Amino acid sequence: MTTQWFGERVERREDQRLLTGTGRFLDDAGHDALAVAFVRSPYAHARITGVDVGDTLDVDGLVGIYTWDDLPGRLADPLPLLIPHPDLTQPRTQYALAHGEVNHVGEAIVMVVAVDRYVAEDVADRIVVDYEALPAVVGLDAARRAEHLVHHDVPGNVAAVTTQELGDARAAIRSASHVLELDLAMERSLSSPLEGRGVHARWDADDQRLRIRTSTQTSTGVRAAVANILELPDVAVEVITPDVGGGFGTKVLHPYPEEVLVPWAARLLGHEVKWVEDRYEHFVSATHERGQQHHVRVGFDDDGVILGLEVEFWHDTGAYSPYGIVLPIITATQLPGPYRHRHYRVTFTSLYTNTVTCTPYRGAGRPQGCFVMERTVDRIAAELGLDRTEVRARNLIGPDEFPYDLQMTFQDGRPLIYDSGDYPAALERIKELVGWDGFAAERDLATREGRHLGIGLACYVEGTGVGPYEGGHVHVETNGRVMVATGLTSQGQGHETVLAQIVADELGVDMADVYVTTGDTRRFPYAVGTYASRAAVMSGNAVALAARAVRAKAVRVAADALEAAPDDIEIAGGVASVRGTPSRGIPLSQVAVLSNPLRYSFSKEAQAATQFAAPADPDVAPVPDDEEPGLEARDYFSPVRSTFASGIHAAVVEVDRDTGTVDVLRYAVVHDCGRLINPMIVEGQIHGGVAQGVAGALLERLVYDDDGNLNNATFMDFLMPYVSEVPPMAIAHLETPSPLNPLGIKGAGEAGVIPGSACLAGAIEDAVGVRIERMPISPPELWAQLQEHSLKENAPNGVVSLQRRST
Amino acid sequence: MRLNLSVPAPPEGWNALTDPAVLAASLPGCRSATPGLDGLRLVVDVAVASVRGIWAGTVVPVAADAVRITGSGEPGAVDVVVRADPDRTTLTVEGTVDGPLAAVGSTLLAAAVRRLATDTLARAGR
Repeated sequence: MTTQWFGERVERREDQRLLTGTGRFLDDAGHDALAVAFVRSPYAHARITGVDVGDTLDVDGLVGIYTWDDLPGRLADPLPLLIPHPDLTQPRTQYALAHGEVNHVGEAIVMVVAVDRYVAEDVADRIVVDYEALPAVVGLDAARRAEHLVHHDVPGNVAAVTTQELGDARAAIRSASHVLELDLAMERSLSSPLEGRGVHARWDADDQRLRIRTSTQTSTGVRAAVANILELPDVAVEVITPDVGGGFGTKVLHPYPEEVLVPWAARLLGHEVKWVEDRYEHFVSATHERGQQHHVRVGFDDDGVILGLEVEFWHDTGAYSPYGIVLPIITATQLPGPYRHRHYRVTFTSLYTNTVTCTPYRGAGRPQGCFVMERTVDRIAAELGLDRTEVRARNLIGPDEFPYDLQMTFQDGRPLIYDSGDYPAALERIKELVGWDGFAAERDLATREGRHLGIGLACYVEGTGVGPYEGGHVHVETNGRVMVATGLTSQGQGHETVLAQIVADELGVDMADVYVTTGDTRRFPYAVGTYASRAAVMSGNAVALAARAVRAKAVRVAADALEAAPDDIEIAGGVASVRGTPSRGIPLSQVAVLSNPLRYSFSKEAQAATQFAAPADPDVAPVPDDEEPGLEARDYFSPVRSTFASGIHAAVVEVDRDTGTVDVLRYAVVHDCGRLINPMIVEGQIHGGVAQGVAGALLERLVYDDDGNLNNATFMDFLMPYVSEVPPMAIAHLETPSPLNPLGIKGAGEAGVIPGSACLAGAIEDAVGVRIERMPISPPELWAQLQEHSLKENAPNGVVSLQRRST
Repeated sequence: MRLNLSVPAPPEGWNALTDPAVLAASLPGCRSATPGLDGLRLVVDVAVASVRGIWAGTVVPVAADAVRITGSGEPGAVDVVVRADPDRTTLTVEGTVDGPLAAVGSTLLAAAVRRLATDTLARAGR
């Protein structure tokens, strides 16, 4: 009886430790480490004219104080530009410590090392930095006006301008019988993982090696950067990512200044050094995302079929551009969604502002693109008086149209070609799931009770499993343990569980015997990282390929030992046996022993592999030319391009017109990420994503004042949802396998968050009849919009004076 | 690490520094200052941030208005020239510091040296 693990709702292995307080997070390491605190800029834009540390000299426990002047060699250079792009003509990256100028509140200027964090913070408080304030550029309006510049040598604050076009959108819009224009905007937010960033570094003087634990989404990326910047051999730098309490994108930026400064200090001081981000630091120095303004022109026919779409948008990249223009590229290329576009033109401008740098936050440019496309489709439906699902149905790409080539270039530089999907089926399913057709009656009933209900939906297509590659190593030890390693990191998603499921099936062993390690360069030195919903697709397929190679080798060794033909060997339950004669079998632990010819035995079982244990062919070497000792294999998966997951969300909301409060009564999700490895884990990812999507629509935003101070940099003021704000949700899975990888899977990590704002904006608009064109929307904002709307309706000439508005 | 800073000197501060007894009484942490064949021999308890320890070295005149201070110890190695300007109202300290002292950061080390020089000069000038 063979057990199938793939597709089963296997309980997450990670939860035992994560839910019982026994996880090993970054801050659990290095209790004896020296601690770091930073002096960070209180100005959004200023020149640094002096640093006075005279008042720190008598603080007991102070170890060192460092400014840019102390940084040697490449550590004094600007940090790497991670993703160059030909259109990014004005890239700017920050220095590890500010070099004469600061460009956002929170930029690190001075690093303090002390015996503990208390002392380090006390010292930081006593350091006096003199500033000459410069005009701050805050928000996209100010950046676009360009009355002041963030970087004096970047004209117009413009980092990059890019255009992509499919067909001839302008001509198509000109000739369309209906044309609409919309302005749509989304505000900034941030990732807010449970544990923020953090770095612990230990310099081993005997081995001349640096061991770094860092809360990153790419250990290999940090390793390459640290080795290069500190001018150490790659092999002398080990990077390990422990339990990190979530990442949600922000931890993919690397190296953060702290990730090179802390290792440098550990080596300089010959003592382990640790820094763990506090919550204020997360708000002002971990990256943000989402701030964009969009202008849309769409031409369509009487049936609501889109004929041409032109979008221009402005992206707020913050103070620097280390992540290139990936975010606006994703918005530009994912905006088309599941719809058949023949003429689409998109232009974006990426602009510098004196605020925290932007890099991907779960969804990464897609929530904005989805918001723009779905608001546009809703407006087309409203304009024509058509049902919103009907307009969508008329524009959806059909299931027989795959592969569907959008003739654009995706964020990975590869062609944007949807590999598979069934969007009409998803639309039918979501209508059933949310009760679309019966909603009119439901609303009428509520209206009679004085309640205002609305329904909305939003579709998305998400490029997942972005390359270039990931690898896997599978090793069957002589004790029977199957040790699996992949280089990308985990932030708690469940990689240990799903990768073990895959390997257990491929190898024919019990999942309990499979042990998975992620994000440890000592175990797997080649990897890219965890981002773009890629871990299952990339590492899942890589470990599957490695496990297949191990299985093939196990079959060869077992066939030899059992004196049977390899074709007759089967492996199940961890035992290799001759098909049809299960009594003739040897456990994989013993196959592992036999795979490694021994001179010296180390156990009773191992005696079987020694030189006199069994007769051998005298003309065949113990390890033939095309073999290696050990039952292990390494393989890599590198797809030609991304695989595209898809889905539709729908929600029913109730709006309190007197307060502007929005209550999400129910939420439905149809999700297609190809073959499901573990439906429970996928649903967990969706739950978390929807929570962040609802939060992004109704609660979370970063509020900067005109001087560039982040006014809500605490959890008292930045509103994260409690469980009470997360709506009950119904989830249905579709499984359209991807043809681009052996397992047929697509990514699922980010999807849940993508359509939140689009879906809820549609539902709110449906409930109260005012146009929702900016997200997030707060109760006071919605209330103000409702007041204005009702005044306008009552005003004789449709004009509302400010005076009247204020009464 | 390069060190280069200047401090104001009170009247008579510089002259007093050439007197071993005055120096011993003025230099914070000074265990001893004794005349030797090669100049003034100094033994000092050094404390900068968490760098603590005994440091021994010499103070050798290299010009009418300049002395070279060299030496080493647990806190590290120091090789600096202390020079007075013509009217002896400003002293400049220039040279290198290596070892643990050089790892505390240049701003902090400069602040510590500045204070050490200022305190010594103030006491010596009394």
